[in-house]
Amino acid sequence: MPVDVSFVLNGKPVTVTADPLERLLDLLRVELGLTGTKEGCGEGECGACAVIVDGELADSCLVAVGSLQGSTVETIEGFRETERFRVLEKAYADAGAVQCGFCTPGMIMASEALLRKNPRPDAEAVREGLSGNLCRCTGYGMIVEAVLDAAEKGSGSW
Amino acid sequence: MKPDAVILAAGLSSRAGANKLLFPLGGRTVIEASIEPFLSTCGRIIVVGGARFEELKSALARLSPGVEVVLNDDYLYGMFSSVKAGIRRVGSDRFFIHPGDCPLVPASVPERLLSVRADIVLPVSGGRTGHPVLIDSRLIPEILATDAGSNLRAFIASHGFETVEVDSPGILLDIDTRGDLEKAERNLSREQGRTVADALARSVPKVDNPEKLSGRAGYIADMPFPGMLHAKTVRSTRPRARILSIRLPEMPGGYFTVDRNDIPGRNRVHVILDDQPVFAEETVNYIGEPIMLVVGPSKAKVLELASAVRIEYGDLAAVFTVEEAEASGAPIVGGENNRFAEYRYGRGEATRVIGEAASGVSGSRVFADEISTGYQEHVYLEPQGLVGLYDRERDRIEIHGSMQCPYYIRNALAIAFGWEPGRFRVVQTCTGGGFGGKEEYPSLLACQAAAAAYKTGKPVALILDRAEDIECTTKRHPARIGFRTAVDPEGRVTAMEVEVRLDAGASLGLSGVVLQRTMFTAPGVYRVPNLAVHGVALATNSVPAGAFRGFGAPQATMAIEIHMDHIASSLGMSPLEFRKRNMARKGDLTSTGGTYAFDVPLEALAERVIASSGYRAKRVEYASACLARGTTAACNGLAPLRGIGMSFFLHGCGFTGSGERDHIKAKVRLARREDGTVDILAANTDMGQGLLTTFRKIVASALGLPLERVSFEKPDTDRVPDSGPTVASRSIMIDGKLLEDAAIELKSRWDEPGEIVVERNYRHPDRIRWDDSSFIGDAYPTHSWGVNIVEVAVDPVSFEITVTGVWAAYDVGHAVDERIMRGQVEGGILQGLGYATIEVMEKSGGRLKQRTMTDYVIPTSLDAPPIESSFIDNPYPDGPMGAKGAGELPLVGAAPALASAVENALQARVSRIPLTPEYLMKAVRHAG
Repeated sequence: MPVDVSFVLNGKPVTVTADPLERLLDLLRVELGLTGTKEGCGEGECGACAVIVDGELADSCLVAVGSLQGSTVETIEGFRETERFRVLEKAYADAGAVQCGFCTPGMIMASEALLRKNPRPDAEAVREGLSGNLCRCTGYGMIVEAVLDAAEKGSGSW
Repeated sequence: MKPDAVILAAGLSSRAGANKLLFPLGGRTVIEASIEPFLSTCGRIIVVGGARFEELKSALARLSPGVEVVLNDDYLYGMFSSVKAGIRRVGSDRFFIHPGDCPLVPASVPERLLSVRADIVLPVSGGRTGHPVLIDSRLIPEILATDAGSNLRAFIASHGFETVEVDSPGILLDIDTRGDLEKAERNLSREQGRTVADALARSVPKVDNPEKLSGRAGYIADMPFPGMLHAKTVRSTRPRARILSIRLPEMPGGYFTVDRNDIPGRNRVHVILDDQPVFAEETVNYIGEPIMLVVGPSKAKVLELASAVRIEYGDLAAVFTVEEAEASGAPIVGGENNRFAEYRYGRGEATRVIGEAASGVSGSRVFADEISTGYQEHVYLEPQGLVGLYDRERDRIEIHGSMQCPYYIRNALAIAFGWEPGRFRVVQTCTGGGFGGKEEYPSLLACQAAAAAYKTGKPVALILDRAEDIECTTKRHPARIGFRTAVDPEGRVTAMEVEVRLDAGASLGLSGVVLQRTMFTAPGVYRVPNLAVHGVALATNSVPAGAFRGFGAPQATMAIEIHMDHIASSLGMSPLEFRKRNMARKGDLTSTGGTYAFDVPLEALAERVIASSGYRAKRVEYASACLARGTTAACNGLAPLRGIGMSFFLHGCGFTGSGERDHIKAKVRLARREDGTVDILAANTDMGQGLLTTFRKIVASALGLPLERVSFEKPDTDRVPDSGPTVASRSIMIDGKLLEDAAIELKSRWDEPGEIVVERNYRHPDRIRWDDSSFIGDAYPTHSWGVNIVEVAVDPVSFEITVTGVWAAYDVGHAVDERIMRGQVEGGILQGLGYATIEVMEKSGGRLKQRTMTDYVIPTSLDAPPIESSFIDNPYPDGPMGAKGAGELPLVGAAPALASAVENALQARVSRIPLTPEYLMKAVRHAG
């Protein structure tokens, strides 16, 4: 039974009529055309579909649309318009942290979620903060360097 | 008073083609690099231009503001006229004269010259005078009065000069050709002792960073095609059975099924033997084998319909393991007596030598091992997926999607449809990882999606979900590799017999070729005078195994390296000493009797990682720490056991033997457009490894153009020639070289008007000799090399392994881009460490036990150890910028080094991977 759900998506209020059990991932990708969020496993293991819901990193394949009433949802499409994204974008490029790119939007959202809570993390905290996001290409070292670099260069942004 | 510097930049660059002064050189241009050493020591920099003056002036205005650029109208009269034009402007009491194409002078050289008081001072290196020259301004009138037909060199010689020894070969090198530039940089790099030598290997930002970071990159599941239908595959639930009947649910309007009757040509996927059906026929041969598609507009409805298809099976006797496949009386499920492929090769008299050693006559000993390795799943983050389209008007089929090899797909479609290949168009979309998994498997998906599009007349998306991808697509072959090795009293291997068994699954696919690489790699990096290798790829009723980064070599390398450790320990030698005694050197025979024609830098690679890891001391310390603890029962509550281990390895670069010459026949094109940009037309794919960037870098460097003026789009078979597949660490070495050669030709024709297209076809180097029937000769054009050291901590109670450090040194020829190469290394190592530890995939009754990413785990950021990697520069003459194969090598050496470290920690032998806690517990009990 479809229901109306109102929430804030990338800073703008939206109301959708959807099956409450529909996955947020499908709402974003199929209904709203926000394809920057990726589906890698559909079971909350890989983090390719990570978005930020009410300030917390969440795998959108595990979030039911019906649970979003009154929530705030941020995806890569909104975050890429910010200054903090530009800091992370440069740091990722400088570190060589992007290979196939499929994990990248989720990894960026995880980096943002981490830096909001801990603006000056050490390497261990970065590894912990990204541990829900799998990457099969890089071996993670260059991604960790990117986040540390962003924290330093973007000091004061988070 | 600071001296002035006159930089001569008026020449025509006639030998280098393009304006050599603007060649890129480590992120700047040759002229900038030539000016740089004078910036701190000199007052004014006077650059004298002539030919292409405006180009020079605007480049310098942008790049080096503050530099004076003056025009020498008489530049055609030669360099001396530019000297005169320049020194007329000098206002200091002394001045330098320096060519604008001499970019490798250290800033210390001008300073050293200034320390000498003389009319004319020249630097000397290696007994030869070089640049720049320092001249007293009192001589200016005399120089200006010298006859125009003379030159500065003659003036200096007649006047007399002092010299300063600077020991910088850079002062001798000016740049007339691209070759000079490369040579010069390498010389300089050696002098400076840099790890990765050539400045051209410095890193550029990857060209696809912006679209990938912002989420705008188009992967196939992100792409809308108007009117697109969704497809879901109905698959076999039986390992081997006859299909007795298929009952379909009632299909609403607009919903279809697509099966073998919808394949217009041959219902076969073209790989090598075409032994795999596109859709199952009378029988199914593995769980997950595709039987039909259900296709329609609503994805949810399609899933519902697909799950309502009822299939009645009549089960047939099946084989699940290689032992069962080989047993007498086993049901024949594929190939000849369940052998899809069987080969032998070798030399000398291995059996006789081993027999004599076993009898103990010569003081020699024989050591035996059997090492087994498990499945490995690729887990590219983007699951497999393609969209098929049918263009009714032009009667053509299009395939768009995630893939490594567009032309493999086109050729497979031509056979499945019985059409001319030109009636298919295959377009790669942004591909989220491949690792070999998207080499041959997309050919199957493409035939299915194309048949569905042809039947329905609409675009059809066939995109796998993760569980389907894990259960039904190819994986790394499980292997069992046995050795019998004779070693003489001096610790030298005299003979080796190797038996290789691969579990190929239900169809041959690429297994024969994988088997060859396992067999050719089985003796590792060692000299084996008498060798006999036998291998079989066996048919089982399991999902077909296929290409995976390393392609049979990781299994062989794991086996030989742990075998060598076992022999060393039995002999009471250190693993390092035993390896050094037996490793091959330049000029030695390869496993197949070819020649290691180039440097074998194992010694140098080993030195690096041994020194930085502290291997020697740790190896002894960790062993005695373990032994001191006694049995594991006493280990309860104790700190982790630590261990350190090493591996020496090689990887044969590119296709085996004559593959490039006889089968692939690669072709590439470069097109210079009217606007001066250059388009790379090649079928190679970037699946994350960086080819979109590295190919452009190779071409831009050879042309002396900025990277932005060279473009390389994802391949579309309507646009690009067949450059071969993106596999086997071949793209840069083979196609990159063709592109570099094409760029050199294009440069020589640069002044021709209009569009220029240069094509290059693969030419087999004469030195590579190979006999495909006997497996004798150079199995690979060359080899890349590596030495790895891995350090672990093993919990003595849970037997959980934590990797605490990795030290890795490689020879990949010359790295085209350091940062991209580091990414390949770290990603490859972590895949190898996962392969050896936590990546467990087993089967039971033909069904995989691990079918999701919850069950089949790959390393996370918390599992990734610190990795210290370095490269030695060993340029390969047949590769672009000296590069050879690099993509697979880093995966190959990690697992055996880890296994060796675990043996060191536990003082117990292991003979398989993955090293699960349950297995280690047994290994320790056995050792105790």
